[in-house]
Amino acid sequence: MSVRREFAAGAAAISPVLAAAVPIALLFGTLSVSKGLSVAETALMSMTVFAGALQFVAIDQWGDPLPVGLLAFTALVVNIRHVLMGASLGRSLGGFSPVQKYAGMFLLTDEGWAFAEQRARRAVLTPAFYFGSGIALWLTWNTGTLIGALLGTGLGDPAAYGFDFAFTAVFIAILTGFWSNWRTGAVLLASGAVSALVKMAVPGAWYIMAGAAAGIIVAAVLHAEDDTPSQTDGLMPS
Amino acid sequence: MALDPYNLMLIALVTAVTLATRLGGALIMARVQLGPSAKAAFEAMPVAVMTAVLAPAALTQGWAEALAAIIAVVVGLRAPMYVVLITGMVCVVLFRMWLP
Repeated sequence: MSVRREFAAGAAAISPVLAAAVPIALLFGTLSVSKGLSVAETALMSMTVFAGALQFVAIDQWGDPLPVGLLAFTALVVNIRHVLMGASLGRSLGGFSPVQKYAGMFLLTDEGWAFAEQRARRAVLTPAFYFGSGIALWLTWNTGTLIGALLGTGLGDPAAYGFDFAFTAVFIAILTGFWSNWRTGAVLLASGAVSALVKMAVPGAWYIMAGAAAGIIVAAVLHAEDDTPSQTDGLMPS
Repeated sequence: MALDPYNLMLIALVTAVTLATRLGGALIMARVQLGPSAKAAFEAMPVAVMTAVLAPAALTQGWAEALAAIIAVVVGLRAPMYVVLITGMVCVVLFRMWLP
């Protein structure tokens, strides 16, 4: 397949995410300006940070005096999942040159990563597909942020139209695409239960790592038990 | 005030930390060999990480969000993503009118 078609396939695959990202990006732009950042600063942050969840948390903590240590710590806690994601995706980047690989990591987001993982399970993940989805999301996120910052607070409340739920819905759709067998259900239950409990009990974003760790441990343990060849449900060789 | 130096410094800081986490995983994987259990653990990562990001937001915000999330899961097992997106948003708006 040609590079152009792979690039377009990546952008097309992620298009529902783009639709969900527009209202969220607009919202971020307006919030950021209302917190005292200029339009240029808001746009710059979206371009260089490019991590929706962290940007909302960071802008929430922005204030006077500027909380340098707290922000650095928050950025680490909220984004530490990128290490897991990069490590997992790293196994599918065989067709990438070193430059493509590390440049590609700059575009690593929950959504782009999920589509890349999905693609890698069905076909060979090409650099063109990965950059197609990543660049499409980057452009959408930054255009939306800029427009939101320019419009300021005149946009109204996105919750009134259910837009605040858009990402949850898209995430659920991505997640159901990963379903393969009962082990997926076990991982899902462990991650979901632990992350929800930790979120209620512990302040900050630790719930992401706690939930992820629970699901990953369950997957490793279930696999270890499964080494005896008596199981009958092995549709997916692992 | 277009670009405040302190704001710029904070943006650079957050960018640097984020970039470090993005590069960290790829750098680790460049020098690690995996056994079968570790392989199963890595294969579970997409589901585990995404569920951990999603579940608290979906389940602990209120009945409307939780119910809409469950419906989105059921729809998601059959329908394409756009359908899930629109169904989820319509459900959450309706449920917020009717539920606490």
